[in-house]
Amino acid sequence: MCLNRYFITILLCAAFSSLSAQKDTTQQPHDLEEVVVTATRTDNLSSKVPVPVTVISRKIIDQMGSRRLDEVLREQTGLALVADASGAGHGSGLQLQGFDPAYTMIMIDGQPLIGRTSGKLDLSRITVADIERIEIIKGASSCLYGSDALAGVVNIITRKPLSSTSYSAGLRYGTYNTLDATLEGGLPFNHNKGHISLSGNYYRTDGFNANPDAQQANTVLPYNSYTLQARAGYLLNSRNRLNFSARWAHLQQSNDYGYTQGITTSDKTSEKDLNIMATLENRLRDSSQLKTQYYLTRYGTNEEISNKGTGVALEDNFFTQYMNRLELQYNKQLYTSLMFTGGVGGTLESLEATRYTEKRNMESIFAYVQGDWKVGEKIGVLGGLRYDRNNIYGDQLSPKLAVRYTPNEMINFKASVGRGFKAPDFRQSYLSFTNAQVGYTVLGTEEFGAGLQQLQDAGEIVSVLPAASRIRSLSPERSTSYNAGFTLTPTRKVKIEANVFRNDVTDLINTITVAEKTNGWQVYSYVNVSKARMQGVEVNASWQLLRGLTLSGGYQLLYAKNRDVTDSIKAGQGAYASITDNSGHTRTSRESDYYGIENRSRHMGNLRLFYEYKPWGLNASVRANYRGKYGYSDTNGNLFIDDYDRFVKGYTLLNASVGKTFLNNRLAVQLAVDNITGHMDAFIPNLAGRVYNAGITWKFVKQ
Amino acid sequence: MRINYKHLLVVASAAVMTFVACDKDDDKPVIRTATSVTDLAADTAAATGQGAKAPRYFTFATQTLSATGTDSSKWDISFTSTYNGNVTASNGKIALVDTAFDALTTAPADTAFKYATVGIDGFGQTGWYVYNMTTHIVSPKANRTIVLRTAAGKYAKLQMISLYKGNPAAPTLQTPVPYLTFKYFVQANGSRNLTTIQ
Repeated sequence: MCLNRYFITILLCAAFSSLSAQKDTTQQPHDLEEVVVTATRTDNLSSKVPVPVTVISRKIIDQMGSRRLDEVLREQTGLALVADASGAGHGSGLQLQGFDPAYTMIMIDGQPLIGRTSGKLDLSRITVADIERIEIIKGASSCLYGSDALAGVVNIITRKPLSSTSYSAGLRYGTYNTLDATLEGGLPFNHNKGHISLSGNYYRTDGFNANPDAQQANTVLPYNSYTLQARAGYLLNSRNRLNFSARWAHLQQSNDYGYTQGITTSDKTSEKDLNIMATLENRLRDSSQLKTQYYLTRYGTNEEISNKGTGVALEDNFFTQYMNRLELQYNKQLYTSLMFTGGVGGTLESLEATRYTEKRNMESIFAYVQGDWKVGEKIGVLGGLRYDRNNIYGDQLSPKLAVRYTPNEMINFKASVGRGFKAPDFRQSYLSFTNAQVGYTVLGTEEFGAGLQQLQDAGEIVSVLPAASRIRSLSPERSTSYNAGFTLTPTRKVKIEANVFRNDVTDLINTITVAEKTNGWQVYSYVNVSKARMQGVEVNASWQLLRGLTLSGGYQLLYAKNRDVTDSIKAGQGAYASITDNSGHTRTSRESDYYGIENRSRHMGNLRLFYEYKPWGLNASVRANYRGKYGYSDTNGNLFIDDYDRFVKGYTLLNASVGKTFLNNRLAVQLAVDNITGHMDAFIPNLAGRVYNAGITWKFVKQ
Repeated sequence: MRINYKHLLVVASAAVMTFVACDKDDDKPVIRTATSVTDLAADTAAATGQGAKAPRYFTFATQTLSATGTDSSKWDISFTSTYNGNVTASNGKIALVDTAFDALTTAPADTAFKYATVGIDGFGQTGWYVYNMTTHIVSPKANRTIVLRTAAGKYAKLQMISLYKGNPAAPTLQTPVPYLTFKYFVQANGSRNLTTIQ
């Protein structure tokens, strides 16, 4: 049985790691202290980086008792973990500054994770084991990372090697039969010239049902997941270091449901995710640095749908995506004040899936430069430019300019403007799909000519509409993002950060009707047509009340609007010009009627209290997270969210944890309760009820 | 405990009116409440992925759903196509009125009966439900009431409520379909008066 095989693998790894292994947590920076971030692709103090960066440290992750990445991110200011309420896709994706999950790049050590369903990367599939910290960069970051870094970037930084042997074992168990087991170990060798570390994680859950009225299956399905991570590094000589890392995650999920009386359908999904990275770091004679990196990632799913009673196969779906990337990055300190970063690289991607006619390839090359100029002590200027050339969507230039002004120790101003883009996804280019339940057809732009011809030959087309002439290869979706704010530290114990943001998005890809079918339905394809604007304010503050006791809070105000809607309302004509109230009375829409894009809360906030009493090894936290009401669906038929539509009510989640360490910090125990009030809502499929979990961790560090 | 007199009054008057309300047309006491039908299993045997459903025929007077409809004088409305969601009257004529069910008091003019069948709204058609292309969920349009004439020629109003089993607030792709939930009122005296009391 597959499960056993993997379990044995984990045990073997564990055995191996206990023989040698090791790892320890380095001293975590205090909440109000400076942290080093890689937001500019070179290590930099967070206060010197002129773009908005949030850092979540290992210590915070541990104190929250989190097991999966979604659990960590959902408690951060301005981030929402969103799911499909329809059950069309499972898992939780990240909404950042009002952008859908498709517009934020998720990276591990600077290289992107792939494998998105409808643009959403399910963050519950990522374990937080082996993570050192998480950096969240808000605002368009395509100037460094290319496509998909349009809303921002989440970069997961894995643990750094230590100079002594260490190992640890952790076990957590809680509500919904959720088990999380981690074994980690690290070992330096050859007089600290080399190191190797391994980490294995097993996670399983029964899932839960947030919407018992609607279905027989859970809204979060039962699944189990294994993640194995390995890293090794070797200092070849005083100037050259070779690093290697690999990650393998395998998730299995099953679901039984009954569309029809007496027949149960079994749906089994297996998801495999592989990431391999090899890096050669050279310190050149003039003390400049050259980093050569090769990255390979593969993401694949297999779904088998069958009749549970008879075992007859009904559907077999697969999805396989590869990405290969070779990249060179060069850093040089020019004079004492200017840090130059430049890079070139190439990416090969391929995708094969049930709904695509054949295997598809995408090739791109890119080059970027960045200058980080510290104009004296008070002013810093960061400028960057990236060029991407792709075989499908052509050329892209992504500039960024950011400035920092630090007049004194108390205040630090930051402002940045940047361009971001997101390549059309494979689906928009290559989909060839006819909905069997309903009867419409969707054709990706590259499939359009052949697909339409095929339908015409089959006599399924009544008429081709003039709009069909607009179908051509898609351009990327683009945005210009503006961020401006300040950090105020009036005393060593208080820190207040504020940031105003605006993202103007153009060329959003939308479906249009291109032909009428004989069955009364339509053929759709995609064009770059829509515009949107996401703007708002984010404020974060923390205050060290007493030694070890920190109170912090955050708030985001967001206006996320589709400009097609606002333009149509302003013009008093078009698709969105009328509105029907609850009594069936129809009138002209007003701008104030438009609440904003679905699934965006205007107000979000959090308040947290973290306490630590070092002499006793005691820590505790109480956290409240508020998500204000948001539009769920249009019910009065004018295709935008107004007061007469369905909303999800605002809610507050209360979480708490208490932990204690024993035996010189070697043994740690923790008890955590999430969602204390047990708030659940049929319209929030990924929100669990009250969850208790208890954990125990054993760490060993050879002195 | 505080008594909500206003609420009591409404309930009481509704009860009185239900039993004794007089119809202007013939001065006989009539029942003015709608009939609700919940979770009526339509063609649940066909797998959802296989497109059209076998038709079902409903008779208001007996509240029965039948698979055979060869004699159109025996049924009042039929449910066909996707999720058995397309509604057709036995005389092939339907009117759609953008008014809440209980707020609709009079059948519209004959010219309004211009639809042969009503199902999906949008996609170039006018109907009683909207289909979300992202979530693939079917939901009724608020404040849209179907008006038709029964096989016997009486005016009737109909509100389609749900095609999903249990009429859940948030149906999903896995919610069993089609289970018809709807309410209707037939004006037995043949007039166009469709006033109902909640």
